[in-house]
Amino acid sequence: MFDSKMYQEVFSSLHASEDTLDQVMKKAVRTGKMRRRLFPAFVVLLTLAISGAVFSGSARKSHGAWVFHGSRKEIEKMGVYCPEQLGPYRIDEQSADSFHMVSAGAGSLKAFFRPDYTWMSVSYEKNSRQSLSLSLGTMDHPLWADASGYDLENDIWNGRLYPETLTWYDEAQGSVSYVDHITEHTYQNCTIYLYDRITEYAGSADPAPPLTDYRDACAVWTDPEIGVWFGISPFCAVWEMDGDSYTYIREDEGVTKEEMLGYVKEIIDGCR
Amino acid sequence: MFQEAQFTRIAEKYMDMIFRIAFHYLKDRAEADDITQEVLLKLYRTDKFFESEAHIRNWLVRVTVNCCKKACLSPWRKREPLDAYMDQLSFMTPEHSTLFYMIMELPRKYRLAIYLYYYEGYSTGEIAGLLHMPKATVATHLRRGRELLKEKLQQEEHSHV
Repeated sequence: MFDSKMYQEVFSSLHASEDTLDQVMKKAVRTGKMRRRLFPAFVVLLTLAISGAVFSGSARKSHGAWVFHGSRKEIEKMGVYCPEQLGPYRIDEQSADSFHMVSAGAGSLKAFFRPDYTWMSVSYEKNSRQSLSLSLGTMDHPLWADASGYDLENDIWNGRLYPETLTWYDEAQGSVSYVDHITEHTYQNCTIYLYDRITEYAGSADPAPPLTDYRDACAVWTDPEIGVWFGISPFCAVWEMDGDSYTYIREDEGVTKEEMLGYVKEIIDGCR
Repeated sequence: MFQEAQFTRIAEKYMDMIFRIAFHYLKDRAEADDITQEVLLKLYRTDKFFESEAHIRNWLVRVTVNCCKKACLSPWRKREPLDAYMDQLSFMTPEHSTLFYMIMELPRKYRLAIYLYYYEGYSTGEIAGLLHMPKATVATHLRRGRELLKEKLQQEEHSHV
């Protein structure tokens, strides 16, 4: 006979660590603030890091496309810059116009290099929802692309937007989404999600005026034909570091949703 | 979305439950603590509308199990020996200590069903819903878990005779 009373007595002695709640609140505050404050800097760092790797002799043009022949070690250098964002991965296979990266425990992502895209970055983040972002872009274009959308429950990459995970922490309001006004569009069999990203920037005047919320049109979509998930967002600011915090000075007005949709269509057409 | 005071109350009420489920699943204190934090963070951030506290509790159980499944896929798992943790727990009697050890020796699927049934008081039907498995399978896990436990405890007794 199972002694349920004794069983309960045994397991009532198990408790979560005393600092669990403190840790949760710290993480909630830290990730919320960091996401809002560090996102553009994070993109810059990763991009510089990886474009360095790409141009250090390991990238070449072939059949009209950029091919990356980086060693695992070279790619691992990326982790030096953003060790928390980069996770375990391996290069799965290479072909003339792409290589495959597989993140541990997740789906595979095929990264393409095209003549138009002179650099690439990949980040891998593991927090409340795993997400992998792939950046494709041109050095002279204020568009930065990243792909996200890992469906934890179904264990697949689907390119969808998860606004509930895109939040920052406000001491007065708590967790606040920085994504707003999501609209859906269809083009060439791709479902495109356009949205406003709300970011806090300082103006470019000197002395800098108070931080202001700006809305920028961004987009994410998945292209089922080539098996790549994309996201693009305008990069309109430079960042200044002051101790541990960053301030963004807005220098560009970004793009409208209509313009953004036009860029998305260009990329879809260009990648096929 | 929860107000901070409301979240704190719920977190304090359920964090041991989350920890115990995670521990039953992973058999590792550090991992169970990590899962507890991860699940509470998800709760803190979720925009999901909860109809009742029972709804929150069920959601926490499901999310905890999902997080544990995900943690098992990680190639970076480190495990603390069970004995090291047992040394830090204060059991009422040696029999309690033996039961803890024997429960942890059971296959994971039996441990989890037993915990949800005997500790959290869920019915087999409710556990079936939470773990997305047929009710008959839950009943089998419970029965088989009890049988295995009985065998192990009898072997333990014989070894001391």
